[in-house]
Amino acid sequence: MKEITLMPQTDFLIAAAKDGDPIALNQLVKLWYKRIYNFSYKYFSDHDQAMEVTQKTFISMNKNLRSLKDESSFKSWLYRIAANYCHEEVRRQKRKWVFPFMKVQSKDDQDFIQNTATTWRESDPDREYAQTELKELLKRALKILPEEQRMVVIMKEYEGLKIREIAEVMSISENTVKSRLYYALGSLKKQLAQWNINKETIHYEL
Amino acid sequence: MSYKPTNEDLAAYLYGELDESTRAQVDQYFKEHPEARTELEGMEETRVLMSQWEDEEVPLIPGFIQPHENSEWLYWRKYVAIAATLLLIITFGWVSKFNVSYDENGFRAGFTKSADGLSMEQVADLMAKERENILSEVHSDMRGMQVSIDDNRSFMENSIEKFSELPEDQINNLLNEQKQQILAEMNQLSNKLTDDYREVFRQLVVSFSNNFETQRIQDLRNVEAAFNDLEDAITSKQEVFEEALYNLSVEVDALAPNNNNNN
Repeated sequence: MKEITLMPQTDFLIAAAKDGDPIALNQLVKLWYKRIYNFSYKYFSDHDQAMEVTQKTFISMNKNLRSLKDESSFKSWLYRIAANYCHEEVRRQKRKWVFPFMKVQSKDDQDFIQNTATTWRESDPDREYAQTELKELLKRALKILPEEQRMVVIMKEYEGLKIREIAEVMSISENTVKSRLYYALGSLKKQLAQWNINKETIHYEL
Repeated sequence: MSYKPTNEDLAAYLYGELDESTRAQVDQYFKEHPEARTELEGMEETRVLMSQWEDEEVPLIPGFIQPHENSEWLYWRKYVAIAATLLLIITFGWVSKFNVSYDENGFRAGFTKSADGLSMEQVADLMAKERENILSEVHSDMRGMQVSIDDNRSFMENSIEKFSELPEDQINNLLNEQKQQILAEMNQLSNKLTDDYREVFRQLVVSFSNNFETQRIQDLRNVEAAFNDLEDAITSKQEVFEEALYNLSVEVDALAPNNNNNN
């Protein structure tokens, strides 16, 4: 399992940012921006929506940081903001009628980001292709999951939150988190098997 | 009584977040039920596959611009600015005696106190009066012109009538009179012109004689000067001559005894 690097300086930065230190605040944004963006991106599979949520989250963080009482709960606090904006965005998108050409445009943006992201990494074309293909399939598999399961899986698998932290973020019991995780993983497993995705078909390195 | 792990326990087991004792129980259960272990291993494989989706790179991380320390002042600044501007406008208005008023007579704005203007009716009256004045003046002018035209016409008619009434010899007399009058005038003019010519000629002669006189005097003076020069020249030549004579006599005197001796 992939370990998310701990951020020991975060507590100190939060304390400084709470006192209104703009450098600390900017540093905090820099540290967490990528995480929140990736969290939202995996949730929506859409760059524009992920950017929207990320920006709103950090604006809200800047506004409300002073009201954060316990600095050690910053992580769950930040993810809770992001999760709330994700729900809001879903509601908003349901209400909104999207022009077809707008969708095309956002797809282009996605491709652009994917391309820049892959070229930035190692230049093994085989691995790149496998990566892109697997990523597309994983995107589709995650999209199939019910929203609450999807969010829990993303927080656990990609953001490395503890079960207790996820419970805190989503204001649900730890048992609910565990059960959602279990069902989500079961569904994903079934879905991937249906697409014939396994260790053998996808050549990855561990 | 055998232990069977719940789905929640399995999930926690999968993520390594199960407490020590429950984990031991689950491990025990897996030993007894290898199919359950296989099931969980499948999930583990799914997790490995999922972990292949790496993080997206963020295109641009924005920075926050913090408001300044004295944000209170920044907040109030615009209101202070508006108040200052209003104060400035009011002061300027007061200094320049700018006056704005609105009543039943309408909206008025101006520097210094604006006097009450004329009402619509008053303005209309003034205009009507002025129009009447102009019209009456034009009428009187036209009447005057009519009268003078009539006068001229009647006078001309009278004259024509007079002429037509006169007999032929009288007309001739009249013409002769006119002729004589013109001739007399022409005579007078010619006399006057003759007198003028005479005067001009006299002045010409006088000026010529004057000129001639001065020229003559000038010539005489020149002649006199020439004579004087001649006189001077003669005198000087005479002196030279006398001196030469004297020198000659001296030489002769000197030679004379010698000649005597020789003889």
